[in-house]
Amino acid sequence: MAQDLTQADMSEILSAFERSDFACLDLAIGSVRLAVTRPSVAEEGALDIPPDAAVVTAPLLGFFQSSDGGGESALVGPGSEIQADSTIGFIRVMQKRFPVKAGKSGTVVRVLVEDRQLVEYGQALLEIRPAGGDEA
Amino acid sequence: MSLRRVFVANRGEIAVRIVRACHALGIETVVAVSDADRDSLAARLAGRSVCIGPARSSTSYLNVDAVVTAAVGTGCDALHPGYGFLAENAALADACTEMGVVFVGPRAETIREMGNKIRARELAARAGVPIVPGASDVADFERAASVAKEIGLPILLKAASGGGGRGMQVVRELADLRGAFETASAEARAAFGDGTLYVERLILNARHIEVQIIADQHGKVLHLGERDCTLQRRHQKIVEEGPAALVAEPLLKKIRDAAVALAVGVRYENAGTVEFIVDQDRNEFFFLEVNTRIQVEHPVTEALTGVDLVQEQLRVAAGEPLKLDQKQVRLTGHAIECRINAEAAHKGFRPSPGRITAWREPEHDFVRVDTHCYPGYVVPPFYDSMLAKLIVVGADRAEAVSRTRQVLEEFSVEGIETTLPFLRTLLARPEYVSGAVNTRWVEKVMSESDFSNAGISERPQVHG
Repeated sequence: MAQDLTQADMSEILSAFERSDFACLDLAIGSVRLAVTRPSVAEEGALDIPPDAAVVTAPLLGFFQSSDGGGESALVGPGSEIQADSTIGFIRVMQKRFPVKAGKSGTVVRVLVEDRQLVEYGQALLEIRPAGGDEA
Repeated sequence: MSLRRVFVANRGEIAVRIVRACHALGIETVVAVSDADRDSLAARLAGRSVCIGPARSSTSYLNVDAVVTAAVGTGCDALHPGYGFLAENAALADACTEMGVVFVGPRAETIREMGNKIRARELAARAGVPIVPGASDVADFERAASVAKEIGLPILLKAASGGGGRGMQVVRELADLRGAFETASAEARAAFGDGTLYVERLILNARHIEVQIIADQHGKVLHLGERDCTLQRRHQKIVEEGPAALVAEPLLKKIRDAAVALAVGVRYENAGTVEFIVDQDRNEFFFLEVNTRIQVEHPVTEALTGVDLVQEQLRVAAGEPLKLDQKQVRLTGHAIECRINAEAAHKGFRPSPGRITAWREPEHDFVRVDTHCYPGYVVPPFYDSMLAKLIVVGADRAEAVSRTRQVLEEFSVEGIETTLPFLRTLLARPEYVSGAVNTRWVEKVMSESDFSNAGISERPQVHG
């Protein structure tokens, strides 16, 4: 018969969880159940994007795919020159895959999302320096 | 509770309601928002909100792929669809199952069967539930005459194939049957290429009575009493109450038993409502349809039974057995719910979106207000216009009615037009107070000239 978890056990488990890379933990011992989730791993809204920065946003919600398939390298990265009709990645929704067009030309400053991350409708994917801007 | 994080695939007051129920059970929440709802009350209360698409609901709240992807992508183990939008869409239930997300509602098969009106009627009949007398094979006048004799007048004739009101004819006297049959049959042939008619008894003096059902995954089915939703305008419910104090108990018992029999017959799971029409002249009842979702008016039942229906939905969806037994279900007192919409009743119920500059709810221990509104909230023009549900309880119907009339006076909303003045006028009518109404009553009184002059238009706001 398993013994119930004590307060000390729980603190220890929680610290171990905090040090780990796990996104969630669900543990049941005896009559005690411990369920922990890291605050929404995919929620990367904390990235500080200057309010006047030029960005490419997600045209729909789905999973961002940075390359054209398994093993391929990302379509764009910092320094990439892009045109309005450049495909900068894909968004997967269920079994469908939609290309994401840049919609504007310029140079990629930062990629703001990770491969296979859930992106919301309208979420900034890339920060770019527009072509013909002051810094050109 | 084995559910850890629930995705709320809805908006407005029901999204708020579901978020609160989840939090009460220690479940985390992620709420879907459209671009127009990013700052909604549900979004603020939930653990997280996810923008699933543009304001237009066809590209957001009605997008099955977006909703399911968002639920999976945010690590949710269950999805609650609320009411409206995708709540009765079997494809959503299927997609959830496919992606390993628990759908908080009946099985996809049940949603599909009950969504098909002809199939639902068949299943009801098979479970021994009375269906409106009629026939769907009326191809010539002789058959029409024999059906009319069998089911009695008045009757309704309509095209057997195709829906809508095309070629609908009402027959009150047998002498009018031939003309009506020929007109309806010709119109049916012109519209659908088939002159066969569907003939059913027309119930003019009807009440709408519905039974709340809850069923677990272990075969236990309970009814939680009934609601009377007779006050309707164009098939939209305006005021709901319970129990059905104006229907005789022997008939009510049969109605409740019929609802349970149907739910058992289709192996129903989760919450649902079986709707009936009651013929007040003949003291008979007939099956209308099953709503395979939580309904707008569920707080009426919660007020009467003390059961939190949304929490029960979550428990049942998680596989827990119902703890309650049928004999423990008691309907105590009387409850009335009024739907308060952003509509200008005196302008044909035209939607009235915009900024709410002042919002004052009545506060009493006998009042519950379910809403997503607050002072400063901007009602978007894209969705259903419901702002709030006002639920009032009393020891009996008389007390509930008088309290409802009192708190409607205390409820004040400024900045947009609401149906509050309309509700105050409607509930002051002696027929409502005595209960001498039927499903056509609201439209009948609205057509009277003294009603439209009696204050459903603008009038000084009551300040609390």
